[in-house]
Amino acid sequence: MNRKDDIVDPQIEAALVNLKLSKMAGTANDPYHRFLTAMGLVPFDGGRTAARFIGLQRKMLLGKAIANLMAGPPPPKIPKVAAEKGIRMGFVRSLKQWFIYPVLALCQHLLVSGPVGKGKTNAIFFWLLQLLGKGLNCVFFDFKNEGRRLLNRLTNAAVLRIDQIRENLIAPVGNTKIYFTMFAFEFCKAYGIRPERRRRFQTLLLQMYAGLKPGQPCFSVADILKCVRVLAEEKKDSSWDTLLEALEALVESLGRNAYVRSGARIQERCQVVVYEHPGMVSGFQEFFFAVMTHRMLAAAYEAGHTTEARTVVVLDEGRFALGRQMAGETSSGYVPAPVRLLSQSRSGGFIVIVGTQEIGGIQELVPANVGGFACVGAQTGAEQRGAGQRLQMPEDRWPVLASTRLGDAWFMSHLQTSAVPFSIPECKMGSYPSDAVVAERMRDTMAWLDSHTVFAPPDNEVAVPISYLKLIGEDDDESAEAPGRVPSILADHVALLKAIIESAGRNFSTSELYRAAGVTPDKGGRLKRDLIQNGLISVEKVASQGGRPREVIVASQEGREFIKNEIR
Amino acid sequence: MKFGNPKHARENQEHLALKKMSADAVLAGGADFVTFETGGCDVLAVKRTNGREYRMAIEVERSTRNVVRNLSRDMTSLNCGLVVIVAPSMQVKASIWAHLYKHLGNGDVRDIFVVCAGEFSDALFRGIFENWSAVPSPLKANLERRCPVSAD
Repeated sequence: MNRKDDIVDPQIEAALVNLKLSKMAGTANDPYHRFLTAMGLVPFDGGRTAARFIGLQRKMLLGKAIANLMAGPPPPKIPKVAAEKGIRMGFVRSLKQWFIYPVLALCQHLLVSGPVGKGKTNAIFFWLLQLLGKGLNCVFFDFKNEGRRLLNRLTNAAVLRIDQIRENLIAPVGNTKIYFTMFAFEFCKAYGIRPERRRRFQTLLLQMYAGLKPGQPCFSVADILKCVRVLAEEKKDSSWDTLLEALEALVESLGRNAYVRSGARIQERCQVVVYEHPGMVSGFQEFFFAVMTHRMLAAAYEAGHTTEARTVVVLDEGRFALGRQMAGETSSGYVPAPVRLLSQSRSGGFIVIVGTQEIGGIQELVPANVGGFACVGAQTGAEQRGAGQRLQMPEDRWPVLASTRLGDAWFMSHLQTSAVPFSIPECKMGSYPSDAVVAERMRDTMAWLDSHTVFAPPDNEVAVPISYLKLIGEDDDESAEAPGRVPSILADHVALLKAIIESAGRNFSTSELYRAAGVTPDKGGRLKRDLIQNGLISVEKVASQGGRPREVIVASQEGREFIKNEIR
Repeated sequence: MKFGNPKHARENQEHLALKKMSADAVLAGGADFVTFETGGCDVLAVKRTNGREYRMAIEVERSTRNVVRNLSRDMTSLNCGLVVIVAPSMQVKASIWAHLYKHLGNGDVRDIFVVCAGEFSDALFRGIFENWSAVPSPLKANLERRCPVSAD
C-alpha cells in the first residue's frame, strides 16, 4: 500500500487537487495561491475555513487551467527586421523563417549560456562571421584556443599570445589620470595589493609620465619594475616589496610585451584580433581584460561617439574575465572597465558577446546588462532556473531547456514578448591549427609589428644556479671526487686546447705549447691531430725570418666553446 | 686525414673506411668529440652534457673473433656507457649477435648496438644518443666478471 492510499481525509484530497490545478494554471509559485493552498489545510474550525478557501481557490484556478490545456504553448512571435539591418540568429522551424536580429540591438550585448559541447562556440562563430561580413572589427579574448580556428576562414585575422602583443599596456590612452587610476586599480586588485600601496603606485606612474620629455617613448612595465627596485633600495623601504613582487609577477606574465615602450596597434592592420591567453591565472586574465577593455573604450571615444556598431568583443568563456567581483573600491570613484563596457558604453559602438557555461558563474551585472540572451541548454535545476527566468518562461516549461537538441537555442531579448526557439546551422570552422601553423601565418604580421616597436633593453639578470643535489645533501660533486671517479678521457686534449687559447697572439711554437700543456711531443702530436679532426683548432703557416715558414696553432670558435663547456 | 691505427697492420681499407664513416655519422648524430684508437678502441665518441662526459665506443668487427674482448675493454677500461659494433654485412651482424648471446647469455645487452654498414644514418646515432643513459650498465659488471681484460 503506498502513501497515496493512506490519505483518506477529503480535505487533504481537495487541497491536493488544487495543487495540481495550480501547476496546470502556471501559478504554483504565486504567493497568493500558496497562501490559499496553505489555508486549505488548516485543521481548526471543523474544516469549514479550509473548505471555504479550497472552494475559492478552485474557482480561481479551474478556468485558467482549462484555458491553458486548450490553448497549448503560444506560437513564437519574432520581431520583423529587414535582412540587411540584422543578422540571422537561427532558423525558427515552427514559423519556417529566419530569426533576424538587428545589429543595433546587438549593441546592447549578447549572453550565451549552455553546458559544454552544446554549441555555444558554434553559435558565437555563426553570428560573428555575419557581423564581420558587415565590416565590423572583432577583438576575441580567447581562453581556450578556440579563436585560432578563425584563421581557417579569414585572411585578415591575427592570433596573438600576450607576449606577442606590441602595444605598451601602460602607455595611457585617453585621459592620463583616468588611465593610470584604472591601471593601478586593476593591477592592485589582481595581485592583492592594499589601497595605500596602490595610491603610491598611482602617484609614481603619474610622476614618471610627467617626467617624460617630448618625443620620448613611454616607459614599459619592465621599466617601472626597475624604477621601483631602485627606489626601494635607495629609500631602504621594505613597504615597496609587495609592489615589487607583484610587478615581477606581472613582467613574467606579460613576457616580451613587458619590454615594449612604444609599439603598434594590431587593429590598424587586421580586422580580427584574437588574444590567446589560456593557462594564465584568473587574476591576471581579469587584469588583462580590464586593461584592454579600457584601452578599447578610450580609443573608441577618441575616435568619436557613434550609434552604429563598430567592434565586436567576444568572450567565449565569460567566467574567466567576468567571474570575480567587478565592483570598484568603495568611495574611490573608480568604475571597472568591464562594467563600463557592459553598462555604460552605448555610444562606443561595441557589441559584446559573452559565452558562459552557467549564468551563476559570472557576475550578476552581466546578465542584467545584456539585451539579448540565448540558451543552448541547461542541465541542472539551478541552471534551468537561471536560464528560464532570463528567458521569461513559465516555471513548468523550464525542464524543456534540459532536452534542447544540439544546435538548437532559446532566445529572448527586449524586442520580444516571449522566448523563441530556433536552430543554429553548423558553422564549419575547420580543425585547430597547430602552433607552427599559427606562427607561419603570423610571420608577416609579427615582422610588421616588430618593425614598429621600440623595446626596453632586456634584463641581464641571470639566475644563480643552485644544485638541488647539493641542497639535499646528495651532491654528485662529492662523488666525483671519490676514488672511483673516472677522469675525463679528454683531459689532455683540453689541457692542450687551453694552452693554445691562452697563448693566442704570442706566436708560441708547437713544442712550446706541448710543454705548456704538460704532454710529450709524441702524445702532443696525436692530441693535435684529434683536435684538428674535430675542428677545434687549425694550423696556419706564418713566414719566419730567414727560415722555413713557422707553424702557428689557432683555436677555432668551436674550440673556445668546447672549453666553456668543461666537465666537472 | 690520418685516422688509422699504425700499430694494426691487419686493418684493411674496408675497416678504415668503416671507421671513418662511423666517425662522421656519430659526429652528425650529436657527439662533441671523436678520437681514433684511443685506448685501443676503433672510434671513441664523447658527448659532454650538463658537465658530464658520456662515452660511446664504436668497434668495427669483420668477424666474431675479438668481439667480446673489445667489448670488455671498452666497457671496463675505457668506461664507455655504450658500445656500437659495426659489421660490414648482415651475415656478420647476425653471427656477432649469436656470439654475444652465447658468451654473455640472455643478460642485459641493451647497451650494445650491432649495426650493419648499410644501416648507417645520422638519425640512427641521434636516436642512440637520445637513449644514452648515464646509469652504469649492468653489462659492465657482467663483463668484468666473465671476460676480464687481463685474460686477453
